Amino acid sequence: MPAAKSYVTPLDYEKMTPEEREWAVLTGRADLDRAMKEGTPRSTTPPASPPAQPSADYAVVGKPQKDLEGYRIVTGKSTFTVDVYLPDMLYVRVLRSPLPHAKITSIDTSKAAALPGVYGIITYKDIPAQVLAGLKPVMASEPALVGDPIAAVAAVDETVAEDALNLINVQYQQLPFIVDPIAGAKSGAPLALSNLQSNVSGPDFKVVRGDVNQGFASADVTVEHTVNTQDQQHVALEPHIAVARWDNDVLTMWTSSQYTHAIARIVAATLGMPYSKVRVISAFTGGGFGDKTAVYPYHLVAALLAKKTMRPVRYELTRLDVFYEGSHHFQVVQDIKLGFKKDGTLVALQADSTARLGAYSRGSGLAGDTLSGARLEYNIPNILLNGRGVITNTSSAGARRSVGEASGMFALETLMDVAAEKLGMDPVDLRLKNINETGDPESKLPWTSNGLRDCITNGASAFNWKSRWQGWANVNKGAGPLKTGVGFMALASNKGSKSPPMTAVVEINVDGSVRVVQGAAHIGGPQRTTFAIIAAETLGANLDQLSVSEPDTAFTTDTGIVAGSRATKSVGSAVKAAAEDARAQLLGYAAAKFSKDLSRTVNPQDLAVTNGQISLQTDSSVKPITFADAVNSGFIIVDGQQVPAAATIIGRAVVPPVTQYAQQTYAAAFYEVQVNVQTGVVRVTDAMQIHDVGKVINPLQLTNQVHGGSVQGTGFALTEDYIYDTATGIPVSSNLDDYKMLMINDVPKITALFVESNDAVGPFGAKGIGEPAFMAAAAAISNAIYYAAGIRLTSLPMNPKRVLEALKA
Amino acid sequence: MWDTFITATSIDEALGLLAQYRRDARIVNGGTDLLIEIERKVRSPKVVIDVSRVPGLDEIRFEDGTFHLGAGVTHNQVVGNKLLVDHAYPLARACWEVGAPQIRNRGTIAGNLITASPANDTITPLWAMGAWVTLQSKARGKRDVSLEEFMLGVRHTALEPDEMLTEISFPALKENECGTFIKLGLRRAQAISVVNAAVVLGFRPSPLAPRVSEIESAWITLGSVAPTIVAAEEAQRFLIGETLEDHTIDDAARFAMNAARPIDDIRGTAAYRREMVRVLVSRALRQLRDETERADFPA
Repeated sequence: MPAAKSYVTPLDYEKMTPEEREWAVLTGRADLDRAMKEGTPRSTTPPASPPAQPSADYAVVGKPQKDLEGYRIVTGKSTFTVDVYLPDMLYVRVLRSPLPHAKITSIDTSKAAALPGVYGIITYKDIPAQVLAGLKPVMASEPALVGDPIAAVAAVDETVAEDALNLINVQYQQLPFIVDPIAGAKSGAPLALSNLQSNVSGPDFKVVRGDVNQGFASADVTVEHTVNTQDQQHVALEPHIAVARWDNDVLTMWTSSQYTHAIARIVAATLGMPYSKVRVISAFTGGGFGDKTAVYPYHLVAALLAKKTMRPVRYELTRLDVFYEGSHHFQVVQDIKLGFKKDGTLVALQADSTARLGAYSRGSGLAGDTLSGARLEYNIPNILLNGRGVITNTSSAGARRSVGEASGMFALETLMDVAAEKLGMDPVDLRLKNINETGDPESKLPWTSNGLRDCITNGASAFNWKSRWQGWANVNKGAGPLKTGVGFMALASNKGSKSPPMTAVVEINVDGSVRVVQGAAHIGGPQRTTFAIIAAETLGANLDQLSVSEPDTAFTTDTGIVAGSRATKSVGSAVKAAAEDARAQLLGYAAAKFSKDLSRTVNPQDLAVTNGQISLQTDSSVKPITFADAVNSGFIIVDGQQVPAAATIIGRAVVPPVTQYAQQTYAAAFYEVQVNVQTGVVRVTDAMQIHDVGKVINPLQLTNQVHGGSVQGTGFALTEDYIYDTATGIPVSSNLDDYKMLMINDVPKITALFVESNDAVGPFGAKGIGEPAFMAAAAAISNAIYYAAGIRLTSLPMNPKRVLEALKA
Repeated sequence: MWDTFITATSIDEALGLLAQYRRDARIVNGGTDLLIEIERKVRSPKVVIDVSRVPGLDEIRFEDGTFHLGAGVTHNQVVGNKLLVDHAYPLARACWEVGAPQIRNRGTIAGNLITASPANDTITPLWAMGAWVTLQSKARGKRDVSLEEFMLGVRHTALEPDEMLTEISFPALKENECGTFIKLGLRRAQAISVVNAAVVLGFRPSPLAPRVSEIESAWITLGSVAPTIVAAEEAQRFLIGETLEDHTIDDAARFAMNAARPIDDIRGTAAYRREMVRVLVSRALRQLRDETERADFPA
């Protein structure tokens, strides 16, 4: 048998939507694809370690800083999209399909149109076939999920719009539907949409490395299990909303978004308008978690109804609308198998992942993302990975804090725990033995940095793992109804990378104030504070000199999405480069001023900038000058000559993508749980996450990110569940009563620790954090439940009913 | 949406409006249930009669060992009333476990009874304490109805279209009585009960420590396990004459489990609910025996 060549299913960029291309870049698929298409290893020698960035004492970076926008936000002074009310504005309500799959045979809106206060109605008949929101119909003629939009009404207020919906008469012809992805993948299953050939979307994602059969044949210990992780909604505090206004041929849209420039680009392309004539504003975004990354039907509903009625239109989705139309963290069914040598060395991995795509997501990319961590976290010579997406009559799959990786890590890291027991090893030692510290085996690119070993060892020591985890002989040893146990997981994530587009402008004004003009969303990171810190550090400015622009496509350039944990590393890189450009110009002005004042030639390289003061390093008797002094001097030095210059500085940057390294973020997590073996209720009693963040930019915000991620990750593990009734296709937990999110009294003490591995390409060596903080929970909790009560739970959420069933089994 | 919203200023005015509009009308006070029912189109009243401005409706009276709660009394009023906490602890405890502060400030006990979901938390303790409600109409005046007669099924009560629930009454726990309420939700707050249980026990007066003597009277009621709240009659009968030993508690809890006729829903399976009845009743009985039922109640 010929040795299998390692390959990855190639991407067909021409067939991908812009959205899919962006996600391919964001999740590292594009890098991987490029590396594979270029063929074979770039070098046959092991990749060299990246040069470490200089570790330095910084003035602003690494010090705790409050959110610069915090006061405005908590006093209600910041303008979120829900705060946007315009004169003469109309309000929208949308009629949604009660059936999971049907064809509309007739629709009559005449009674609704006659209702006083109704100004405009649209149905699929008013929308050209090519006008889609991504792949979703703006108004469906063949609704493919419960909640697909059927008709939208703009009226003087929401009550009138709601009343008008009741007057719309729709006749449906019901069609067969499919909810379960495994059943949907079988031949002969009902098709989720009538134009499909098969519910399985596109070619499988596939990775082959070495020979997996030989790998398992050589293994001394083999473990495997099947894991089913659930559908979730993000439930961002601010609901999805768009306010649209036309001024002649210019469309202005306020929307709660993670990526205003993409909204502008896609809305413009969809409506056949120039990008420059669509202005999208998202001053503050009330949470996103990946759900506000795309164009949705509601954006186009607002734009089209505003055009039709010639009035500003506001569509704020109800929470039920968000559950229906918003994207979902998709259900995934994974079969995963690992082979080890007796000493714990990993020799083989086989994993198969089936992702439920919902009605309007496509391809195997989402399933592929669930397999990413398994491919890259550990050294495994032989692997076979398969992933597929299955189209179903459910809400569409999309990005949700880690996309597929949280599900993949749950499958892998719980199985690692099973293996550790079978091998008789401490689970910490088993991870340490197998870490892939070199680079991406497929692309052969070295890591920018890898701090996983330190995450694990520092965490084990801080958590006191050696005394709290007392060996495999002590599983389920507690007495009484409340049993306590500890669990551990490690993780690798392809998120948090430096990826294009990365652009920024840094202005130094005549009064010495500094403005960072950038287009990234402020969604609670809080991103603008991070950018201010990076710019202040680079310039030598005081933080209070800084202000950072709000995303508005009319005034800022596209700097990419705030998702994929990329804001700090990617946008931060652009801000840093623009600040470096501005600093060089500032030193030119300052040199001219010193030259003039001292009547001798002072060169820019003789100057230092600290705390907003520019000083002459070669002569401490000379009084330092301020930014304002320098900019106001009106001269710069060019070729040794003083030349008059404008009294403002504009530093700019367009940062190229990273091609020489593969990028990953890493974390370890230690959790303690208390399992009530009478009721099946699990409480997390202690949580510790240790993240390789490259470099801490702001410890206060970073800790907040970990707290939020841990709480959300614990909800994923224990309570949150978006359930469909398989008999009717109706979601039954589409409200915040039945869709259980954790509340503050469910939250334990959370400890956040950081490892600084000095990333080779991040600003000041920083990486991302948003998504790893969410991923670092579920597997550790499941492993802790096993240690406490002796039950392995492989379906999420691990709710009381499932815990008790497992205890009785 | 409704056509007419009327703010009534007296019970008589509200009764007059009910007599006029009957099934088209619905009384609103806190609105924590009704507004959701309207939004979900479970109810579509044409006329909404707001009684939240009726003077005196939020009165709590204690007369001759009996509590009388006006129809406007909210959950937080009960939690904040020392007499009720001292002498009607099962109700106070249940009110404390409902929703969040905002909901407890708006939602009324009367509304909780009228919504008549078997998962509603205040019905279980009121039933165990032998409560009755006063229903009033313009045509027929007042009538008193026990909770058992009032609760006809899931979201179905004996309230006639022209009637308003004006008062809830129940005897205070006596010297020799004690009780508590326990709820299991899927998180620690703002969670609808998967199962809830109320237990009220009366002990034979004893010069020794309290709660060690034989049980004279026992009421055990269960929520969210049948179309209405149910009393665990077999368990109640079994406990009479017994003392609270571990084995008696275990047996009583098993008898209680047999009284449950739960269904599967997204919060739990029938089997899980039955098992939880056993666990909760046994926990309640142990807490009462050990006098720990108020341990985590805010002082």
